[in-house]
Amino acid sequence: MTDWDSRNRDVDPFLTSGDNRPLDSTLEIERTTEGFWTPSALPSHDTVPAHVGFWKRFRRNKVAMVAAIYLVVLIVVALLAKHIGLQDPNLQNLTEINHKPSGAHWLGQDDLGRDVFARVIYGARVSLEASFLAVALALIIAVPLGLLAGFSGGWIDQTLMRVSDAFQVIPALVLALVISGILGPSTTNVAIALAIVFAPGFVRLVRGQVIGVREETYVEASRSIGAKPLFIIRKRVLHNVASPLIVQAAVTAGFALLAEASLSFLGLGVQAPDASWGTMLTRAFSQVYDAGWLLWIPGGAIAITVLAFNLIGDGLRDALGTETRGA
Amino acid sequence: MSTNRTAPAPLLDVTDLSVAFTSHKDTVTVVDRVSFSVRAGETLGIVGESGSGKTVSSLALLGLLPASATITGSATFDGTQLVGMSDRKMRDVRGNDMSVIFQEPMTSLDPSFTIGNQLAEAYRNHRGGAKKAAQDRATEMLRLVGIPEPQRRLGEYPHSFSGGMRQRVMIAMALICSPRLLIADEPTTALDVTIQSQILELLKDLQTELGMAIIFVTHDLGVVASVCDQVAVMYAGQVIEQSPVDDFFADPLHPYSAGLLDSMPQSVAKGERLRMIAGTVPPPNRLPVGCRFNPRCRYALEECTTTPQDLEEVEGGRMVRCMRHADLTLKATT
Repeated sequence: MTDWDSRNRDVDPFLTSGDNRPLDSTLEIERTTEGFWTPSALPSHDTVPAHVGFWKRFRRNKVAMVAAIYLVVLIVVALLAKHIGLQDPNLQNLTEINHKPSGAHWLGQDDLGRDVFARVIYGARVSLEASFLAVALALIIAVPLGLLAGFSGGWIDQTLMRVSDAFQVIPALVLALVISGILGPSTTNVAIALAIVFAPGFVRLVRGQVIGVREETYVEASRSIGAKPLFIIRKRVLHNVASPLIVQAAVTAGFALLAEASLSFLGLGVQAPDASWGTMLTRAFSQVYDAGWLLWIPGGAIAITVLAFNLIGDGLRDALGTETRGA
Repeated sequence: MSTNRTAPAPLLDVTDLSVAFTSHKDTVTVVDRVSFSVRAGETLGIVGESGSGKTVSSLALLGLLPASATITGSATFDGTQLVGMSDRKMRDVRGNDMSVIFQEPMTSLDPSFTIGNQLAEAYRNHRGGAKKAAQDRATEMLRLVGIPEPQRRLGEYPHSFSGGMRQRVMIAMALICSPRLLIADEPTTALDVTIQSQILELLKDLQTELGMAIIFVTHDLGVVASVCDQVAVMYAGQVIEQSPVDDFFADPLHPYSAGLLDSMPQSVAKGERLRMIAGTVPPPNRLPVGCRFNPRCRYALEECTTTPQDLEEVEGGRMVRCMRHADLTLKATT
């Protein structure tokens, strides 16, 4: 890609007639790159679309790939939790309390003798569901508002931005705590609370991108051939603001997972006896003197999964970045 | 124009078109009672310095100006009034009856979609129909604008096209619905000289083939000489002369036109200093009293500095905005 681009800059191989530069003269081409003669038609905008060769670039990033594979496996296992022969996560065995990992219980048993491995997997389901739901809801709220703010400008933009400022001055977790406290404890309510917390950031991101894209000549060109405003927003604008949005969504999913764990830890998420990583952490915390090792399991799961989301975000950013690629 | 009794009615007739921009402080009129007309199949060149209002007038015709612009006057396209037309109706005109190509071919295509996708979308926008038909039409258009292997190029993204090629794609996109009028806003300014002449050649060929009228917005008199039938010269937001192109070059009526012609490098011998019109175009909020050109005009009289001048019709279907046009003989030096 790189080589081809730089060649393409200097000689247009598709000229039909009257080419000014002899194609076989490498000397002439050399000179142009040194600035002896700079044609004004030098492509300043040969942005390669983000999705072209995306997979190839993402795959090259080994760390992000490992993170992605981990996450996919986790999701599949969590979805199939009922069908892969796990023990009942809520089955108590009060004769085997705080037992260390063994062949029968890979990750040991908790303070009620429940199988920790099964609880981690079922908990993954709750945690991932809450975090994906939170991000999805945030996007559903934020994308239209961001497009609206960026596209219309004026008082609509001002109002939306001031409202989002108002949300953003409150620390994220405190706000989420208040909202889920009002809504009552449940996984869905935690997701809604987090969506409300994340939405202003997304609105801002989309708005900023839209303001950049709005002034692009291709948007005006689209208007000049009679395209309808909604069509322009959907096709010209949304597609060109998607890349940073995808990256932000991946990173936010990690943060949502962490936030869900925090809220569950405080008792606002999923209710007993069902497990989420946050509630497992609370249980383990109460046993810290008897079975401190129990803390490591949900804690490690949270840490690794959040890390995976962030690494995937980084990988996506590198693979989707349209600005610096090919340089 | 009433003087052309034999000629058909103009396709586009612009009369007293004014464009004012309102900011929070004041209102600035950047285009002032501009009049010109284009007949079917004809090419009108609009020339003028930067800031003379040529681009603004042409964008005003298509309703492409921001909401802060107030447009008054009249512009009829084939009998339909364009000024004050609803957005919805204007969308049917844009790209269908009238198209525009811009001066930045590098940024005028959406980098996220293939050429074929964008061309087909421009077609289906007005004509609807099946994707297949639109694809065929897109292929045909690419072939028409001289892009080799159109079938294959349709699937490529803008980044793999050079500037000249992108301008060809833009032309294909503008013409895909066979508009009757094409507004070319400095379509060759961003291209290097040889590509420039190829694009001009292409536009001329397409005009012969498709019979459309073209408005050529440019500051390059060489381009005017090679492609236009009529020329309208703009200065400080006003048309100061409209003439058939041969008359314009042989016998400019306005001192500013004469000054422009005199500033062309061809008008002086090799080694000699290039001539120029002293001074600069006044900004639209500080226009001189009387004729707007008077501070820079070497023929200005006392009266020129007091009385505004109107655009007058003179013989040969020409228009001029100069009170001394009858007694001045301005000969082009070339």
